[in-house]
Amino acid sequence: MNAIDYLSTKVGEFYQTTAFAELRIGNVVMIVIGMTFIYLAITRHYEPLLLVPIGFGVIVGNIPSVAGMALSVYDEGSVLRYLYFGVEKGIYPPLIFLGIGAMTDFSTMLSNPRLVLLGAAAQIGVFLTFLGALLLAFTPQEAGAIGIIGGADGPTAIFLSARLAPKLLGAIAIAAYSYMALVPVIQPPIMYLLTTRQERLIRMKPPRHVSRRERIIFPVVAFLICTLLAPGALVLIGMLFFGNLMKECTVTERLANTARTAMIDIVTILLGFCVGCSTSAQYFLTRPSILIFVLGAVSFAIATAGGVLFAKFMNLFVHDKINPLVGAAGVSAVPDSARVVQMVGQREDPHNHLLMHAMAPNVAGVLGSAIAAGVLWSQLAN
Amino acid sequence: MNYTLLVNTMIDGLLAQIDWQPLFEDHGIPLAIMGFLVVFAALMFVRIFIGLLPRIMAVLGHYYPEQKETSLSPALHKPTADELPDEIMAVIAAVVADTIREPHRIVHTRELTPEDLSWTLEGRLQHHASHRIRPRDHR
Repeated sequence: MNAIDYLSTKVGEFYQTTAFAELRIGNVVMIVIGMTFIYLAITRHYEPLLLVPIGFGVIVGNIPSVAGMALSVYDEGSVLRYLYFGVEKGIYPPLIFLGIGAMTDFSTMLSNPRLVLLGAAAQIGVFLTFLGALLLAFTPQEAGAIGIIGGADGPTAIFLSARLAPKLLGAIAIAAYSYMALVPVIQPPIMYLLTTRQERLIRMKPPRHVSRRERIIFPVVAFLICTLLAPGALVLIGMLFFGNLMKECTVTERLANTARTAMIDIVTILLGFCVGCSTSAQYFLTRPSILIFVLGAVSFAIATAGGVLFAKFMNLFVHDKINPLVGAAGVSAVPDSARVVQMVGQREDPHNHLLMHAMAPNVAGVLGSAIAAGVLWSQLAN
Repeated sequence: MNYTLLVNTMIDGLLAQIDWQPLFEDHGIPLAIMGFLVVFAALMFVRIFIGLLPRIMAVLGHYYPEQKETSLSPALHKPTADELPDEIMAVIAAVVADTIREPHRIVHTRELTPEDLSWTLEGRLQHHASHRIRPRDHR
């Protein structure tokens, strides 16, 4: 009898040291969400490089901590806390921008400068969502961080929310990356709704050749223009153009190669995993998170519509017509939204290749969202 | 019926929460308009600069002519250890074009798998086997 009592006491004690003791229904829901991300990444190829680290991070982040052990990203002194430092202090996003710069070819934008404006027009999503979030009683700082989801740029969203609304960082990052992964699902209906078949059939002139000298001068001068107007974008834009200069000047090929391969891969793994880990149910499954997801979807839709409608508006004044589908690529999300433009365009005309044209507003969208983040940061930080 | 009720309740909940006041403060509509204009202005300046680039290049080219970029220039494109020289690529392309003799397009490319590489390996093995092994002179 005593032996049974002893054993049951020991089993009870052991149970208290397992994660089962603190496991709540919310954690189970989040673990299922994490598994869904991994499933979508593997079977549907929805942004696998991001959704696999994030999905696994969500699972890791929802294993409850045991009392007295520093395990989660929120526990001082835990290993995950140190890794999360790069997210919390906004270190990882600029490094990702360096890698993006080292792999971005601005030639398409340089060969067709009018398409730059489509990248600006799509940023309407950021600012209208900012107003929407204000309406729903978020503070201006939180509203700014939520609005940037419309920029469709994960690193920028993380960078800004780490600065303005650290408590919402997990929800904003997951919303931004989820919608980026869902670009092929969200954008086409809006593109069809706002364009006629004739507009979708418009063929654009092939881009001109851009010399190496132009490609070297551009990052330096564009950096000066952007950061003198919006100094808040200094870190993101600076790293982006620095990476691009390393690529284009050709004398730092080794550095550019490292930035666009090993370095961006390492930072992406750390960023995705840590963001996933920060989605512990008690912090993530809250009413503001649900509102953030709703506002994020609205933001994406407005940004897409803004780009398409502005392309139609430009067609009223220009001789060489722009295929309005290209405007949808203004929402950053490189290169997925450009791929969606190509896909939708080819459904109407299999010989109409819009990909290179769409890359112009796509990279302009990256600049636009970084500048928007800089403006919001500089205005709302205090 | 229940679904409609749920949606209506959610919408009512959202509407009850809406507060118009923050929109008309400094960090509301004025900031949104100003922010959008800054983004637009920055990219407009970038657009103007890009528009001027060909002229700037023409002026620069007048004083400092740019070296011509040619992908066939051996100085610019040196084959690496695992890359075929351009001459061999040209020969292979000519043979392929001559063999196919019809207009064609590439629909799929892929990296070589270990099975594919076994062909090369077999070639190397045969090449090595063709050498006569001589006893070393231990003088």
